[in-house]
Amino acid sequence: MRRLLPLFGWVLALPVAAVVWAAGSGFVVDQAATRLVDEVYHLEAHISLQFTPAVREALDSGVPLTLELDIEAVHPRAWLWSETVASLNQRYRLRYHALSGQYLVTNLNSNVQASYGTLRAALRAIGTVDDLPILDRRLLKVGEHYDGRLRARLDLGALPSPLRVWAQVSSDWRLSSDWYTWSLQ
Amino acid sequence: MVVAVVKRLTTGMLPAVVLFALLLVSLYLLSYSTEQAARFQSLYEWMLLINAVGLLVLVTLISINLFRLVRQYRGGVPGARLTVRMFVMFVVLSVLPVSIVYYFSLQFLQRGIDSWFDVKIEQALQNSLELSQAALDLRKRELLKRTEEAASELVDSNEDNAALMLNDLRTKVDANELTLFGQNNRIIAFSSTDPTAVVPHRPGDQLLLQLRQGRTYIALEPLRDSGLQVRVGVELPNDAAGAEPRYLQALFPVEPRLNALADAVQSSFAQYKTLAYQRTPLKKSFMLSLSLVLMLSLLSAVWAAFFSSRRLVAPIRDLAEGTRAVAEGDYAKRLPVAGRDELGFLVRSFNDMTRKIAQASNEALRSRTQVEEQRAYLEAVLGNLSSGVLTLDSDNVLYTANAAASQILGVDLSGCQGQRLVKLAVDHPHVKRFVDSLAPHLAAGQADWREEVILFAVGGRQVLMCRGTNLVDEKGGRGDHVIVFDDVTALIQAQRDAAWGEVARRLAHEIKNPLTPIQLSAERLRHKFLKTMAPSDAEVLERSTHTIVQQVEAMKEMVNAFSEYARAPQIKLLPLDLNALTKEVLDLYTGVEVHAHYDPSAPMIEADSGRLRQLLHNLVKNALEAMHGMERPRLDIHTRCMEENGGRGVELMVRDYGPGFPNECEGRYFEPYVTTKPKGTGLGLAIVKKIVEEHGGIAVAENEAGCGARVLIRLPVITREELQAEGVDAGASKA
Repeated sequence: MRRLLPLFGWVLALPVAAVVWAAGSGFVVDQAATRLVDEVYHLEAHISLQFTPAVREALDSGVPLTLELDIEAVHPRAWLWSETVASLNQRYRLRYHALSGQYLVTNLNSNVQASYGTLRAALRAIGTVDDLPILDRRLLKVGEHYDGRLRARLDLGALPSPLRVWAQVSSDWRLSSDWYTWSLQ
Repeated sequence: MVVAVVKRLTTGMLPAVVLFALLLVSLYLLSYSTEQAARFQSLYEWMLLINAVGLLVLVTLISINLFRLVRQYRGGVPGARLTVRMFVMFVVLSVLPVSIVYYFSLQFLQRGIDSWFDVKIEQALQNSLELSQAALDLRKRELLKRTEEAASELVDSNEDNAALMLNDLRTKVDANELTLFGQNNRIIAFSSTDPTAVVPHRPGDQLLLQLRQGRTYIALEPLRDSGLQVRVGVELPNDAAGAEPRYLQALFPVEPRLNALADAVQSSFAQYKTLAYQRTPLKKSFMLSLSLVLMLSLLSAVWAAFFSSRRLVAPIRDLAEGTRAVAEGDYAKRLPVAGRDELGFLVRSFNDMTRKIAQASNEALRSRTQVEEQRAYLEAVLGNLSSGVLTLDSDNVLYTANAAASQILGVDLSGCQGQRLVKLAVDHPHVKRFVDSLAPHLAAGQADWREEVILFAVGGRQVLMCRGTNLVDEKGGRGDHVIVFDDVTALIQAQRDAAWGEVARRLAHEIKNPLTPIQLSAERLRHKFLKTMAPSDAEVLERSTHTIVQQVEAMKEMVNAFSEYARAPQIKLLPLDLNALTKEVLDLYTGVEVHAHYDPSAPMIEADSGRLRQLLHNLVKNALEAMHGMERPRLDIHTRCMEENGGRGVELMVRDYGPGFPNECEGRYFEPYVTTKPKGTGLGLAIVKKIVEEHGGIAVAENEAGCGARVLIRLPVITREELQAEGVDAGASKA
């Protein structure tokens, strides 16, 4: 029994390791919610963003990466696919500044740039959405039910061309979270 | 419709042109994008897409063509083998050079891209980056020191004068901005070179974290557009324990020159690093596009091989089909003209040839039909002729014979064609006499001859009138013979009967009629003057009138006998035993030694007993008269059953031992009034012959060495119906 225990441990460890690996690299929307301020929905979200080693290597080699937050308001329908009422893209460009050793994050919507000493800090900054106005409530019909949904993904289309082709077919580069849906109140 | 369109698309010229254009565009894009890497980025995906579509189209086309070709090859379609051979040849010819070029291009590409990146350059860039960092580090340390000095000067400041002190310090340390803040990011005071700034630059999380941990913060920060700034954060020294900690953040500019240089170094480094990182994907991409172009050109070549081999083979296949059709007799086959080259010339020649063959064959057919018609016409004419016609070649081999010939000769000659005439005589003995009588004429090669031939055939005696002609062949030598013969038996009989009938009538009329008045006058003279005359005169009268009466009587008798000969009485055919009749007749004759031999197997014949009796009397009398005056006259009589010529008959032979027939009369023994005897009408043998002919028989008279004359009578065993059919009755009834 004693001798079997380590084996047992390995067997248990395998799926755990898989889960850990999956969680260690990938985009996951941890939490998202809207708050109504003056008839405007404001988004509060937290997304954990993790890069695979291949993406990390490209970033460190000076390849600029574009991350995108897709925010949509949808109207779910009984027998048809959901109707998209409004959509908003938040795009961030992340690049490594070798001279200063800083990671630069540029919000492409507002063109505001910030620099971070570590990648983690930079990704945390991108993954933290704080008080982002997304939709005027008056655009929605009264009495209907609407959902908000959010996902984060690496925009492969913005990569340099030779890389883009290979990134399209490589699983290392397929970084996209599932849609996280919540109810718009 | 759809099939036709697909077929045109898969075999026509248009897809070839389109694909070729596609190939050229791809090649252009490739060369263009290798020249300019920036443009390449935007074109690359389009190129991939176009090539992929082109490849798909080509693969489809080739699959269809290959499938069709394999099916044709298995089905043994004409030209399929040649198409396969040419196709394989074309493919080998195109694939080999393209593959070689591909290999070397690949090598060149690898080396070419690798040559962009040099370890030395990379190292130099790395070094320049490090140099820049070192230079900036020096500056950073100095700025940290300055900030720390400023912080120590601020220790004594309170919230009221902090702003004023900060302003002084900012100018002193040459900073862009100084911010003093307390716990929880509470800004106590700030001073900036920018007069419009109302809020200070917010200290980052990292800075706050480090300060709280009791460490100083110093970092280079890239500005938004270009350039750098240095951010320094220090904690103010704190003497009084428990007092609120305060922090100073300073933002320093970097000198413009250093800034520009650092920027240049950074951007060059980043660019180079990015490119170096992309080296492998770039190589892969180039290889991919090169491979795509290769595949495109290869497949185009394969397809072109299909196209051109089919185009080349098409006229040959047509020719093969055409020759096969001509071999099978379809001369109407015309091939589509392939073009102006040698193949086209071949096809045109083939068409000319088949047209001429068709004309010639039509001509031949027409003339054959004409010949057939003429032949059929000739055969119909020959078949409907009542005369027998034989043609013999120069070697006397029977060539043709018409139906009448077979009928007259009583031999089915249709099966004897190709036989020699001599063989015919051997197989059918009753025509031997016919053949024998022809032989001398044929051998002599007479141009024109006539001959009367008498046969004793199945149906009895036959008289044939033969006429022969020697056809002179084109070389002028002896050629074929044509023999035309008629059965003139009945005709001759009728003619003779008619002639003799006329003679008899005249005799009766001109001679017999005056005889009676002569006789009566003589008898009256005798009767009137015999009693009155002197006995001597009376004796003269008596003798003279007696002589007159006797001679008149003899004359009457002679005329009657002639009438008897000429008149053909109605013969009554009845079954008759010739042996018995002969015995009966011979019993009447005495004073002659008769050696008779009767064949007991001799069959009954159909004959008129009265006429036959007369025949026998005539024969015996004739013989006895011939032997008149001999000491021991002897007469041989034989009967014999005769089985020859496919028919049966009875032969009667009467032979005497007299002097025989005189030589000067040879051949005419049976004719009337041919006689050498002092007495006799000269009609004995003529009547014999007549009776024999009436019975369809044949009579032969000849001298026999060692004996005298011999007469042979042959009578056929035939029924009355057959005789009547032969026309004997008809002939006989005419008289």
